[in-house]
Amino acid sequence: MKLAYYPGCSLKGTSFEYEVSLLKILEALNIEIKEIPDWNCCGASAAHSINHDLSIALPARNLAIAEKEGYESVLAPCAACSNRLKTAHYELETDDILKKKITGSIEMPYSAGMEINNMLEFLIKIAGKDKIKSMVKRPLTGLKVAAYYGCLLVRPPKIMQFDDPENPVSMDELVGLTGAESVNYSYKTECCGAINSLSKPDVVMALTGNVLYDIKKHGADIVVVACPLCHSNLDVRQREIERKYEEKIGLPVLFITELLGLSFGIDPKDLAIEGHMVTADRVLEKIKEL
Amino acid sequence: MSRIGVFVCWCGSNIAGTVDVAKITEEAKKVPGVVTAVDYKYMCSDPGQNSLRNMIREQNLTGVVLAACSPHMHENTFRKAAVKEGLNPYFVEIANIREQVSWVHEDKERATQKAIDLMKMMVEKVKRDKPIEDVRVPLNKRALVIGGGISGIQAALDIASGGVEVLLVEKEPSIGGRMIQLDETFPTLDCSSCIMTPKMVEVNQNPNIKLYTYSEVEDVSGYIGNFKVKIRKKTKSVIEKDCTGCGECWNVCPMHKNVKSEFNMNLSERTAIYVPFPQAVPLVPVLDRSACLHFKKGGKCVKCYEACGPKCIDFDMKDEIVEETVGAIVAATGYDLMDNSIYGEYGYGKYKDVVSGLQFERLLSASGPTEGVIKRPSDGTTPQTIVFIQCVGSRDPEKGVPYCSKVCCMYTAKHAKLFAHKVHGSQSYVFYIDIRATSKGYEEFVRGVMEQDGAIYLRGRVSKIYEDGGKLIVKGADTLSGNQVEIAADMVVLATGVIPKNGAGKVAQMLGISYDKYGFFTESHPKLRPAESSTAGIFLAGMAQGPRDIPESVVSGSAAASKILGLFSKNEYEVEGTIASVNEATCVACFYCQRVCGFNAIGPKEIKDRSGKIIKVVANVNPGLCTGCGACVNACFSKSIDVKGFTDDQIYAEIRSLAI
Amino acid sequence: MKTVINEENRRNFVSLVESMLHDKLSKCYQCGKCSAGCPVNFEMDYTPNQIIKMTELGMEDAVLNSKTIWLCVSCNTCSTRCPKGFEVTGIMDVLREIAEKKDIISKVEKEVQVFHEVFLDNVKSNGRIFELELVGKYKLKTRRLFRDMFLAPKMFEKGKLRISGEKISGLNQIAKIFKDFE
Repeated sequence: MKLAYYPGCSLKGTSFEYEVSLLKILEALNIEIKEIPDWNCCGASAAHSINHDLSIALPARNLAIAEKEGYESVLAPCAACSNRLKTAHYELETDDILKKKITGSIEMPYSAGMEINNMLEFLIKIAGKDKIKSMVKRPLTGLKVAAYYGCLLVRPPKIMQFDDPENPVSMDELVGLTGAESVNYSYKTECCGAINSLSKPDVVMALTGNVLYDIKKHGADIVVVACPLCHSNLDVRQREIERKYEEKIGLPVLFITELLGLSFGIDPKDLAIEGHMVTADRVLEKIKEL
Repeated sequence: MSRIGVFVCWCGSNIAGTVDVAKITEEAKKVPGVVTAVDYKYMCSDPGQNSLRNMIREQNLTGVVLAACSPHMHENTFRKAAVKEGLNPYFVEIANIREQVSWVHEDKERATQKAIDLMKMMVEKVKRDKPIEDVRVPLNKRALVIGGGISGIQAALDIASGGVEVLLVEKEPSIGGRMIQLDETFPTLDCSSCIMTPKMVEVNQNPNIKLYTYSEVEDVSGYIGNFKVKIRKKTKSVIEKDCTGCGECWNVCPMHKNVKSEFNMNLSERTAIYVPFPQAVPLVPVLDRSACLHFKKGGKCVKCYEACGPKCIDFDMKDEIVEETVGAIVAATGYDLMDNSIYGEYGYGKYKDVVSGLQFERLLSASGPTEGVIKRPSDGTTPQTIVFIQCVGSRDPEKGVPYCSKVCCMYTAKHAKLFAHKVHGSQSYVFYIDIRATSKGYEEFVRGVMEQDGAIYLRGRVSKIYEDGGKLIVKGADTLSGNQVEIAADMVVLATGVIPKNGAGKVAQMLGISYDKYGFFTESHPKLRPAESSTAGIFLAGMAQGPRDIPESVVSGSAAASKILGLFSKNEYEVEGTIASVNEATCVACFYCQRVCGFNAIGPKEIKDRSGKIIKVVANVNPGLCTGCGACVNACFSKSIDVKGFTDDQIYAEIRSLAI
Repeated sequence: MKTVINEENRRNFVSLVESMLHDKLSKCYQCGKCSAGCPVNFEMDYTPNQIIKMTELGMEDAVLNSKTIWLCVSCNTCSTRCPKGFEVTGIMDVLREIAEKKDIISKVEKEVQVFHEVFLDNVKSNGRIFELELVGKYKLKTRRLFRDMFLAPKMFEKGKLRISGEKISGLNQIAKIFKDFE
């Protein structure tokens, strides 16, 4: 099966670490993916927030190109992108009138036959747990990891069709494969504030703070995520949250692909881990000693 | 000389864990009159009962005391065991050392002392027990049902189908009650008259049912199995057996604009001679003398008499009193609506288009004043917007009643649904506090009214209604959005609370049954004896007991009927012998006892000499009515009344035992 | 607040919302499950369930000018848990879109609205998001020049902010899509 890759804007910008690390581990897993040619922004939260049709048309163009290029499956590592692609796909599949309107605008047909995977789904379904496990060269034994899912991977369940929306486990399972211990905590699927990061920073810091302090309380060494938006709020805003609530957090936030890469024995530099705002040096030291 | 046996039960660790059972046994042996005392793990078990029986037999016991659980649990068990050994069952006494000792105390020493005290008290009581025989009352196997609404009809039909003769007494000219006034019924929307009239006709045709309409029960005396009943048949001024119900009389009655129709909730007029509605059972008119020209103008008008083919109008007819004897009674007197006008802010009575729920039923009904077309009482136009207000009077301890009237949520939802069906494009707004839709299919029905029929529900109260340019401006609150809202409505329907039928209290007093502060008849036990009144032989059904819907009313009618058929399946009624008895030698006939008796069980008895001359009047206890409550014992100045098995002598002996 | 219900206006507003939402407002039975789990409820002027009720009552001005519709981050917790399967998240999208089409500029949550608009402008002109340009324009429009600026140097250092953006080659297609649906 030809596997298409829809990186989305964040992976080409603020969350470049995600792309670097995922390409690295897929290379290790010997899985080939190809970027959708001339892909465009999915419109993210802004489009569906104020213009429904636009929020379907923008992702539809990408899906239609992928279909035209003969792909049947798309990896959208960004949780927001996968959410929007899946939503567009769902609405086009269930609403013929809308489909006619959208395909007319993008001037391309779309049969609505595309399989869309988020990063976790891709790793479990396409790569497979056994294969991932076999690649683990440096088990991260003793490392306590909090898997943070946020909203967009699992909700709305009717459309995402992925894991349990209230108690997801797939990322924890991947953490388990690395030999690390996944930490149980209460805020796994609470919202970090998402898109309002720039426009409502105080609200976002309150929400993200709730998540980070809960993780901290449960004794995790690091947090792993599969969403650039979550990463950005948990990592970039972390110092500010510490200042605001006057309590140290100091939790490095890694993408799940980076954690897998570390367990595969890939050099942290090749995984772009130094690209994060909160330094992971101490954890990397700890891993080195394992 | 008493020979008492004391049996101490461990009840596993229930008693033995907290009370020193061996010590009670030892102490029991020391009590004078006690010839044997044993303790055992489970006295109620077969081996336990056998040891009790063996001991009675071998030791010739004259009485036994069980220090065990509550008499509610096993008194009967032990009495039966004792009877098998030839002992009178009332020589078995229970000292409750479980519920009253081991389960409620922790200090073992003091608990044991209390258990010993209770045991000793019972020994003193049993020493003074006398054999008591249960009372047997013969039964007249006929029943009286008061009230011809759905629950009374159901009770009458069920009793009749059991082969028992029933008298059904209805105050109004027709049976049918409130249900026949309704249009369609929730949640299935069966037409009320379609499902009701067959039952009414069945009542009229059933050979076991004797129907008294336009009649009232005036007096009830006697007791279970033997009630004497006086029924007043109010004059209809129509010879019932000759009337064909042709309608010639009411068609010619000139008084057709003068009297408001009670059946149509005052929304239309009726004639002086009238049937309340076309499907009335029996289809015999009654002449309302207060409205009749013949009676008002000195006999001038005789139009109905002239029109009547079979000549069955009788202006000289009088009320008739019928006396009947029955063995059991069903009280199914039904309900009324509260007075809406106590809420000045709703403008009921002031604005014609503010109506009650029952009035709206009549506007919906095909047999109603508008033949089922919804029209405003003020100008006859069809309303487009109706505001419904729930809890008018209900759940209002300050101005109305504190209880929930139970049916209003559902009938309001039904009104909104029927309104949407009858007037397309119309809009309902429903103000509510809570929505109570708890029976089968009810919640789904209410949701359907909102989701399919588009009724808008507003959680909040209405503050004011006033007229403006032909509209009723309704001001209220929607507490869910936190807003004051204002709606221009064409009509307002008040979901008025229900109260017991006017005069229900009097009926209760006449029957000697208890009723609550609102006037609803109270059940003998709210959960376990819901069909029985506080008085033996009198049963309850329908809304007279409290707010309930049609299915529940039907069930309660059937329940009362099945209780009566069960009662009548025997030839005699057996009552526990622990009832009051009068010492006729010392009674001074002050009848203070009669005044305090809550069960009408005490009356005068004449004592005559051989020549038949009355030599003394004394108080007499009716065993069919006495419950053994003991109120008369306390009231008796001459100490002439005792409750058997609980005599003053026994109680003083129990108290004295504590002092020893 | 006091609301005089005008039946015609109410019905028009309700049918507009319902046609865009593909769901019926009357489904909501006001249990409050949405508001209970809403992560941003604490900042809202009306709880999500209130917004639904107010929409049903035709309180157009109040809902379209509310903070709530702009504070909603579309986390979908509400819709996921709604016992009636009502599109709670969806109604926020619909109300924002109506506000946008009616050119209602939010007085209370202008920044959120501007962010969405600037974001889409950025998509329109590049086909993709050029983050630096996005942030810059947003700051100019909201005059919040200095907020979050302290983050910039380190982000540059870490390589998170790129100096130049890329435009896609099918920009004309993007332009058509915007033309069709804007």
